[in-house]
Amino acid sequence: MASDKTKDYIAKYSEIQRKTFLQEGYALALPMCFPGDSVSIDPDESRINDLILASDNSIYGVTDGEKAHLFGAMTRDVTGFVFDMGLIPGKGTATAVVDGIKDVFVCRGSAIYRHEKLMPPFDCLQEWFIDRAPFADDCLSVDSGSILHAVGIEGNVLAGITASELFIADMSGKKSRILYTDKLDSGNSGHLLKTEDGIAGVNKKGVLWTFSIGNKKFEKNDLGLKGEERACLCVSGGRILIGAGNRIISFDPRNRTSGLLAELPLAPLTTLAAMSDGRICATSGKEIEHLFEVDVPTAIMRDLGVFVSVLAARRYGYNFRTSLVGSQGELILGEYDRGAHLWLYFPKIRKTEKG
Amino acid sequence: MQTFKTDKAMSVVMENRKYDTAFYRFNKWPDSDACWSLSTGPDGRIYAAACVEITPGSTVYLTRYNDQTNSIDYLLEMDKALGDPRDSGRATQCKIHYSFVPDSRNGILYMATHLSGPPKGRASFSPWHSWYGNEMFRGSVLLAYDTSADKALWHDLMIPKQGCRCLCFDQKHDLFYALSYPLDHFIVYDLATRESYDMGRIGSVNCQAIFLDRFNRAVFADDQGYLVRYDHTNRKLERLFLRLPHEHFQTGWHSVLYDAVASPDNERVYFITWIADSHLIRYTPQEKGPGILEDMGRLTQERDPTVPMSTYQNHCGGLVFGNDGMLYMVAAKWERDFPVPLTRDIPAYGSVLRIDPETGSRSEVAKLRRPSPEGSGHYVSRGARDRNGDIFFGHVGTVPVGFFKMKMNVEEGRDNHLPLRIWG
Repeated sequence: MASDKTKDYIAKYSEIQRKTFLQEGYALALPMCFPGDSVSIDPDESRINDLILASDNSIYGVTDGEKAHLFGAMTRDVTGFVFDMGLIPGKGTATAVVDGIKDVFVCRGSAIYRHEKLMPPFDCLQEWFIDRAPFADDCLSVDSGSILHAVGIEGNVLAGITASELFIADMSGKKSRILYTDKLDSGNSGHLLKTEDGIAGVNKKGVLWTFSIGNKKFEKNDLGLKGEERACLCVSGGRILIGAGNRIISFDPRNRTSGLLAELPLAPLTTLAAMSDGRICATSGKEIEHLFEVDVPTAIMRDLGVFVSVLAARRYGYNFRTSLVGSQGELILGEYDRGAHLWLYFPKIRKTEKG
Repeated sequence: MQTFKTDKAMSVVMENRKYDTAFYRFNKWPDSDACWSLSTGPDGRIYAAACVEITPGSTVYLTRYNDQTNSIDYLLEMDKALGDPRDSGRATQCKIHYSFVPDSRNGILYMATHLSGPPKGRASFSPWHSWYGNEMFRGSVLLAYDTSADKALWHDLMIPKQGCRCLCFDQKHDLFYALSYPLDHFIVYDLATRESYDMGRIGSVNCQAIFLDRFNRAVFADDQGYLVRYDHTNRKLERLFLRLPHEHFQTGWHSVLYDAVASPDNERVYFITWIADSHLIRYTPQEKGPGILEDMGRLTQERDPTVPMSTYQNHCGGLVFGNDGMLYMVAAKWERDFPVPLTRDIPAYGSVLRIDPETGSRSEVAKLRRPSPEGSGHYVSRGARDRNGDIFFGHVGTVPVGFFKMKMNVEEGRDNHLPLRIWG
């Protein structure tokens, strides 16, 4: 029998050595390849800048760097791979990937490129073939400079921003054109958010702005954010949640009220997502980020620990830039690190009274 | 493991000596889409399976190359022979998949059927989907065909509900060895008692060949590319800690055996794997040890490793020894060198390689192409040598498929097919 002193030592040892890492749910780090049969995207070209969940439940993403890649991932039914769809043409940072009807659109520099979506392979157990189609020859250019981010609005229509302009574009093949432009004050910090009737962002002065597609109207709301902080946005229960620095602020566009939802012990906040059961997941920290969970009704915040994948690929997850909620309610995260992986996090299913 | 310092995959010496090749199409079975099985029968003639795995409500036709008339004889419609009609509403007896085995004692050619052909009226068939349905495959049937009388002698349901991916025959002990699909179990069938024994699951991928080593043990590979050996004396399946070589960006997953051939003296076995960029491997079995594995190098050309390449496009098959003691096989080769556009229809041909079994040096001695405009001739399933010493390669490609014959200019004789290969 171990002595009390030994038990105490083991408990403290365990607290330090093991409980630093994810204590709830499961994280899976997916290598950026077909596991077992292709080489991953070059480590230096793999940092994930943006992710989307397309209408066909495939995940698409773009990577950072001079050699920027578009990749697609399939995790549903009998698929299970990440596929490098090719180097994105042009120069500058690839900042956004947007879902279209048959295509995905990629913003790089001041151009928007078009690439057909992935077809699910006939089989991933034998004789698979995943076609690496080229990007479409035509691209649409924006006059006002590099595109900072863009989101899909409907069909092949997207909305994006440069440092000085908001634009709406129709990317329907050869008919691609800019539909609308408007002046944008004070640039933008972080990703755009698709809202119920338009888009939202946070400008360099730390002001939340919303733009209604229907009436082409801007509204600005000073939430006291610091302009230099990169902002992450998501929608939860009709509210816009804004994470920046170490704070998560809740803004209700219906009555234009706001409040502090949570204050994290680590900064900066790097990703923010509203899960399908209402909880909020955020990653935050500098060299080693932690996953935080916030229960919106109670505003209780919990530190779930450092990302680690112990199933499939064994990898420790330190830095993330983008996240979204997948079709199964899982959190999908784009790692922003050398040799990045695409991460899936399946939160713990809470026991209910019925359970 | 010894690694041969062979040239890079593309550095195949072009041989001055070329062999004439001809393609024989299954014209009388126009829906045939794959010739998965092609083997030398106990009579020294070439038997080929005209399989139909895409067209619903069809069946595999057993055929034979007639060296007197230089044409194809159509011997047996499998559904009729088995009493499992093609229009039954069940998945069809559509193919024989690496499952011809000859019995040299009595002139019998054994064969086992496989699944995937859709029932009549259905667009497709999945054994997982239909497992509990009335349309489910009846099962793999072992059929004994008397090659001297040209008639089916008997048949028996060997693996209920499943197909037989590959078959091997231990003639000394009258045992057949098979791998089932889709459950991937190792099956032993006792010819004396006509009973099957299920030795359990191997994995998911499904190995494509089982060979018999010279100590009468069945050898194949699991999903991770480890050799697995079955010893009938103790009825034990044993994983050997010998892993089949693969490319640096692969993990070894899916490196199961694709094809295997014994050296003429039966001391060694040469095989290739079922993964893109397949390697040629030499195996020397040991009675009291796992054996010796030697990597003789990659067989296909350079390519972009960021693409999870299809084993249809990057393929090797047709291992067969010639009467000259050289090893012949076919590697798919794209008509243009790397980099090639990675689309589904890369033009390719079958590069027939002659390989020195001692040194591993290789040369391309023929190119297999379907007559224009029938498409590519790159995909070869199996190879075999007939009583005249000529070499044949089964083909998978444009409908109707068939096989290639490569004239070998061997001295006249009637036993140029020996020794017989005893696995599919």
